[in-house]
Amino acid sequence: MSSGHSASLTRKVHVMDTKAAGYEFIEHTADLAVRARAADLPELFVQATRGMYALLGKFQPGSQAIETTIEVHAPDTESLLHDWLAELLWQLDGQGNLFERFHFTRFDAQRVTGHCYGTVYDKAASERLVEIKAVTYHGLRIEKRGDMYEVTVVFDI
Amino acid sequence: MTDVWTGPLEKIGETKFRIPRTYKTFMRVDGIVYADDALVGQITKDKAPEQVANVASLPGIVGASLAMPDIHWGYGFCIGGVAATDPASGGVISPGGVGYDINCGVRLLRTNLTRQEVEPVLPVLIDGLFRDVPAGVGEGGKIRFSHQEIRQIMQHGPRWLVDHGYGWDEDVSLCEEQGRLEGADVDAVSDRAMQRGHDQCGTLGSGNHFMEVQYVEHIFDEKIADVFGLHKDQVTVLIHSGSRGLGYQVCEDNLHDMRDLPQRYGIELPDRQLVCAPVHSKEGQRYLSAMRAAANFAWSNRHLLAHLARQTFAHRFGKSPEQLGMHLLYDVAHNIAKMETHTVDGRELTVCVHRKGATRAFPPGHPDVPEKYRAVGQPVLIPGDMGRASYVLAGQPGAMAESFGSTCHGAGRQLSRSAAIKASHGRNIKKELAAVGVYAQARGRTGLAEEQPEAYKDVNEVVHVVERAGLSKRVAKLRPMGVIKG
Repeated sequence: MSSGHSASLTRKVHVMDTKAAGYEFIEHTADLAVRARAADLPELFVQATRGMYALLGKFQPGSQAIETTIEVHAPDTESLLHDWLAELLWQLDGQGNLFERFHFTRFDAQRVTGHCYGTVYDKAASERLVEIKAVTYHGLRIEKRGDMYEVTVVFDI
Repeated sequence: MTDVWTGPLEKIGETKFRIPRTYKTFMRVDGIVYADDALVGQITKDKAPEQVANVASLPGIVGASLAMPDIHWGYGFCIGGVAATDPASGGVISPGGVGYDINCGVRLLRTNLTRQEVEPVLPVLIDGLFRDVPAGVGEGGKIRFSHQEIRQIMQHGPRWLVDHGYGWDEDVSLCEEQGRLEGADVDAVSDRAMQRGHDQCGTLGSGNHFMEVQYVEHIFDEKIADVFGLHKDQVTVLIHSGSRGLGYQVCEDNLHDMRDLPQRYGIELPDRQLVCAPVHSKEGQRYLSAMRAAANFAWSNRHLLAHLARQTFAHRFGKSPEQLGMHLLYDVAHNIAKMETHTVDGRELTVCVHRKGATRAFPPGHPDVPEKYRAVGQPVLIPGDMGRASYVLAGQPGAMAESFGSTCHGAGRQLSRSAAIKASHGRNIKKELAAVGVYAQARGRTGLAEEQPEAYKDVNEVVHVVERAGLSKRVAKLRPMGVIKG
């Protein structure tokens, strides 16, 4: 399975229609939340990632290409998504790694292996909007609505 | 706001409400919320009281699951929550009871400048602070430390910085715990946490963190104010920040590592964000060791921020920080867990006190209060919002008797960040603040909107409740003049 996207990431809010894959920011009593929707779970992970990036800032890709493999294992799919996003958050905050394309070679109930392709983002040309302290577990539940998977991820900022 | 709370909240005193333990079968103790009739309506606007009830499920919890009047919705624990657990009775430590920003806290510097002396140069002074103090998302510090030096900082706190030329000797003794929690284990802090935070010592960060120049608007208690070195119209500097990316990652790492533990230890939790481990377990000790290292880093962070503020003031006024009387009044943590001795049901116990958005408020005579303040009680620093006020309180005996030596920590949010941004559309918050005499500089585009005064409860009401409850006493009210934000 693969989910390839190469468009540069912006903070434009993608207001989803109920049939298409995408993400949107939603009002939340505490901090900021992203709702992602997709036809399959790998695409849901990608849309949640894009939503998190869009929350973090307006990024411009840099000139240094990078690729890495991220492997997470957890007792359930929600925890897998949590760990996946936490890993990508650390990649961005700790290393400046911004990924644009993802290719999953394994995706099962307790383990996900994704190959991530992107760049070290261009700090001078990018604008960081918020600092996410962490991806929380709050209300984290992946649900099937019709043909689509949907999840809301709350971030502590 | 959504999700209004409709559970039981029984009034049991002028400033106290109870969530009885019969509310949920998992509750081991009552929930107690400090509030008055005016504040309680705001408190039930979200599910924070449910979180007070959830915390009452923690194994080994003693007394009650407590919430201060600045309570608002958090992750697992509410913000404004206090819970003490008894390790001897299977008591647990929960990283969510400390929060992601380990030892987020407040530091207050005095000066011998008056409001009248500072007002004419205020914009230049604030612009200088804005230039000299690193703030904003992911901003690295101006003073760089090697990984080895950061390890020393995590082990020894501000003492190490003073020994290496940053800050004053007296600063160390005027921090809660002298800026150093015993039992920090630097090796328990992951490489990731180091990588996320190693260049952030001496940075404000973003969110609700700030540095504010203020003046003493009102003195409530002349005698205590005199001991704290405060007088009317005196200018002060308040610093609010924490352990930055290092602390966030320590929390994240330990929440992850503890994920399977409740099942293994047979602990049933109503919310997975409350994940915990017995204090005496290997995992509990590991978290505590790492949390202490992150806490020492946070005290060092605020220590360096104070050092930068002193330099900017010295440059602006052409006098040394010593000549300007820029002494540290005190530094308090409001996101922390500590082993403390308290009397519970007539028995003296060593308990693990979680303070999540709550401040230690030890009373007069307590041996952990610095000697110069011991006769009047520990200074408690309460940052309010940018437009209203902050407070200096003093710890009172009621805190020892009722709240494990704790009081409130701030005004407490009443609008979500996104609602605050929405409410600011079409307005110029910077100009609105200027109209009430506050000169503000913010790095991010949304920082001022998110932190606008209306986003918070009225701090005046919050501190009035903790005073009437006997937890702490109002000493001075500080009025903002200028603020820098990430």
